[in-house]
Amino acid sequence: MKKYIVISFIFLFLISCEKEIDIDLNQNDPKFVIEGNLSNKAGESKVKIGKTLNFDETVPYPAIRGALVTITDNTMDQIDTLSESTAGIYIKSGFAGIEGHTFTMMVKTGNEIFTAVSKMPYSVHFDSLVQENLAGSSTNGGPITFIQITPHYTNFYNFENYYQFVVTRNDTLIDDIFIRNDIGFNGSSSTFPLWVKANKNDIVKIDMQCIDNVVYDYLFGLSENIYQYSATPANPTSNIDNGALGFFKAHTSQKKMISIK
Amino acid sequence: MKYITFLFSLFITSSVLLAQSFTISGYINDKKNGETLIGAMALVRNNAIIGATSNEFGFYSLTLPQGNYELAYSFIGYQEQTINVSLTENKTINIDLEEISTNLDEVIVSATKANEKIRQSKMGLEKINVAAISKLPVLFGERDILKTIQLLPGVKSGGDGQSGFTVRGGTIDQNLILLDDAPVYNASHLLGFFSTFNSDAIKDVTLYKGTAPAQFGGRVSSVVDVKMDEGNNQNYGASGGIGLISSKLNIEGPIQKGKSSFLISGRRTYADVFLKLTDQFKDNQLYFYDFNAKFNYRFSDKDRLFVSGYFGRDVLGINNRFGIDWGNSTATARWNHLYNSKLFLNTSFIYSNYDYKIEIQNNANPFSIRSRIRDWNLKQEFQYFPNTNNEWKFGYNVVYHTITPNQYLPKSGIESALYAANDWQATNKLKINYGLRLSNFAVLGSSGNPAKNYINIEPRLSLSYTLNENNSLKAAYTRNTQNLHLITNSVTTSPTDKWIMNTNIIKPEICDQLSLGYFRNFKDNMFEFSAETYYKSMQNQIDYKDNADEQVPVIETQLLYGKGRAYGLELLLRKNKGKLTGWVGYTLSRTEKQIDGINQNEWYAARQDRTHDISVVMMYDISKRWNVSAVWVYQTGNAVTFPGGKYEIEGQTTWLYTERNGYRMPAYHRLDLGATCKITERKRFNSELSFSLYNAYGHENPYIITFEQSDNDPNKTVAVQTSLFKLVPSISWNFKFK
Repeated sequence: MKKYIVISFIFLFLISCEKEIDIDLNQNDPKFVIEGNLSNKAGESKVKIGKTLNFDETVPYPAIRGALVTITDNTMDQIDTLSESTAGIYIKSGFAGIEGHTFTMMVKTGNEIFTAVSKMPYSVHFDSLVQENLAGSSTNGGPITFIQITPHYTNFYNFENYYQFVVTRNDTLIDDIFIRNDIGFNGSSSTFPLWVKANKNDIVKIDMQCIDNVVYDYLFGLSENIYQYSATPANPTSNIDNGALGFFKAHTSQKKMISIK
Repeated sequence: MKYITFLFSLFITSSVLLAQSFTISGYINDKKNGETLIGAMALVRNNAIIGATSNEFGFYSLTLPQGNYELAYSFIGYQEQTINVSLTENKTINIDLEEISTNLDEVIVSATKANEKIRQSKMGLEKINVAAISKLPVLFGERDILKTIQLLPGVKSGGDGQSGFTVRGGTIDQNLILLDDAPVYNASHLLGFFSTFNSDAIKDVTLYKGTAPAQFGGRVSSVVDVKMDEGNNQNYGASGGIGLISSKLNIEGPIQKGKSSFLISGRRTYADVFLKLTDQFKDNQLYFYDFNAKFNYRFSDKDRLFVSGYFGRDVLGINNRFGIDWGNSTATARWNHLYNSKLFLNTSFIYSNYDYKIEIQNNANPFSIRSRIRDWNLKQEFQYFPNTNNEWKFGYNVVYHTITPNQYLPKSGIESALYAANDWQATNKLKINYGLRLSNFAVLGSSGNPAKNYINIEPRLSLSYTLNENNSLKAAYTRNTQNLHLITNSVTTSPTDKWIMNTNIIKPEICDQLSLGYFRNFKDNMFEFSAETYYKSMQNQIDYKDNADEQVPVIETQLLYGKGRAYGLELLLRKNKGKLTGWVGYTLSRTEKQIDGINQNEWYAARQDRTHDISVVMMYDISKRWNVSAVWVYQTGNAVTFPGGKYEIEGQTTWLYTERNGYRMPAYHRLDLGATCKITERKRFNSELSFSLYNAYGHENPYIITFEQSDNDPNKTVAVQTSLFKLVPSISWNFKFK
């Protein structure tokens, strides 16, 4: 809020100016970055392993090849090994997690071993997806505008619920982190909208994922970090041990799509 | 308890009366307008040690053995007046001093009596001469005492153009800013670019850098004690100014000549008028206004009543969609009662309120947020002048605080204090100010009963040893506590910054400060030099945890608590006389925090930590009509957290952080130039034009630095700096009818 107020003030006065500057940022030893996604839908799980770059280095980010990646269903005591499909991406065809079970991801590369635990919550039913008609906002041609799209679902009464909505527009991932929880809305139905940039006739797909609270906190910190909102920026707290960045997310998945009117 | 017994025994011994002594007491006033003079001196001729200083209401009391005396009354910028007294009984002597005519070739501008700094026991104290600051260059044509304070060593500016400041490694909320005894919670307008103090209505400003005597309390870093003018009780007068974006008007006069007076002062900015002229911004609003009013009445020689108030409001609106307005209001009623020539009582009833309201209009669901902090405050203080060598102050203070955060139940607390302090001339060379403040903060539960009490004992001691007429050594130890905390990580102010009170988790901040100083005047008091060092140890300091979210309803979940330390050296060389006046200040300092859960539990630089701070202030009188001024400042950048690297998560570039506040903003430096030309100077009417050029060499000082993908090459990341004020000229016309 504060940032917006200050920026609007500066804007009003028309006296600010922006320029690129050189800052001497420290060189760091590269760190491992692991994104572990375990879905309850067959074939949608994958683990991506990479490394960090210094601030002034040019992408692409380095991929870590030849790692040993396993996911253990702790509830059933069953181990699955994933194999590398493309550089740094590890999958297993037909593999899926089970709702309510707890999983351990293990990544071994060189002499380093990283492990993380995540619980796959029970799935909350994704009832419907509705586009709100906003007065004053037009989707007829023109520049891309923000559309208000509301996923409808009813929170469980007995559990705390945490969600991530992964949104694509015309099959392109929208780089915004949409997360919700049911704090203060325990057991009630949710009508909180998502603000999505889209045009008329665009196809917007939403994957509603139920996640655990550790992953929720991670994603919250991540969005603060990416948008530089926080007054005290820091790396989001990862559920992976041994100093790796990233997360291991066991989640359920339900997809719906909508054609923008 | 031991402290109290000790103080009490000192009190008894020091008040043993000398045989055959009598007291001279009275008020020291300005002859022309009847304004009382604060800090004027009454000295026994040929004995620079024996004398009295007038208090904040202009009252003085001097007890001397029976005999004949020649008394000299003096005040800065006023002609000294000498009287002969044959002291055989208690006497009331009211003195009217006359201002030195400005037609003299050489104008003496000095904030204090020539060598007062050498003699006074208090350390870390600065008096701001309101008349002298009118010569300094300004931003947007508006003089500002809070910005002048920032040019003194040990005081750091909150940011470009900001009226917020930090003192000796403190945070911005650790400054107690008082307007006629009423605390001002957000002392800024327009997001900090103006202060709430209209310098036309201000009489006296004193800054204590964490070494305030026992009558002040509640903030650990500093006290800025601002006193409003009372109004001319002899003649009606008006003064004012017209600037590019703001104007002001000040009216004063007697209600009953010589007995009572009033003063009303108002300001309004009109930058929004220009916005209306543009198509793009015509639906936007941006302005503030404020009023100061004061009235006083003398019932008798022994009773006097002062009523003063302040009301200010800022309004910011964008496209009729988003609106925020905020402001302070304060009211003070003070009653002076003189029991006898040695005992003076002041009773103050004080009200202070700060609130803001945000309104968001969208067709679906408009909503508003309101937040408020309000104080009801009673303060009684006795001043007792038993003999020439002692001056006692003792009293109590009870404040009822209510904080109403947006949409939540109000929280209340009672802050109370009992205090006693003595300014004691122990020997010809040694002056001691000692005191004790006993404070309690009661956190009130929902039933209105205290849920928790925090009791603190705060001793204060300062010593001054005069080596000779021009040299002195000083030392001080002070403990201060703070029960209200502003939750912000930045060094700039925002109207939505949250004030919170102690809770079961949030404990009072405690600060112990030890300071040493050397003071020297030379060339017949033309130059004044001081060197002060300090070490501060702070407990129960608050900071945001990593990745804190400032918008959560229960802010306590985002906070962590630990300790802090600050130390530094402050050098000041000031030239008080001659055509060229001004000062050079330098501060070398360090401020750190250690909080479990932040920075791997290691000490880290506090946000407001800056290593070097230099300010050069010069004023030069070219002729009777023209004077020019220049201010140059250089500051090490604030400590900030920058990313040391980057990585990709969920397809997005993410920043890799290593430590808290491990980097520095680039150094800040700026030169301001000013000139004042007196256009008319008549008996009844004066007017002058003031020109200022802020940031004269146009250095782009960083306000915010963000990190983003390069526009030119999406495979690269760059740092982008936003800077605010580059070469801001302003002109204002000021006038005065007398």
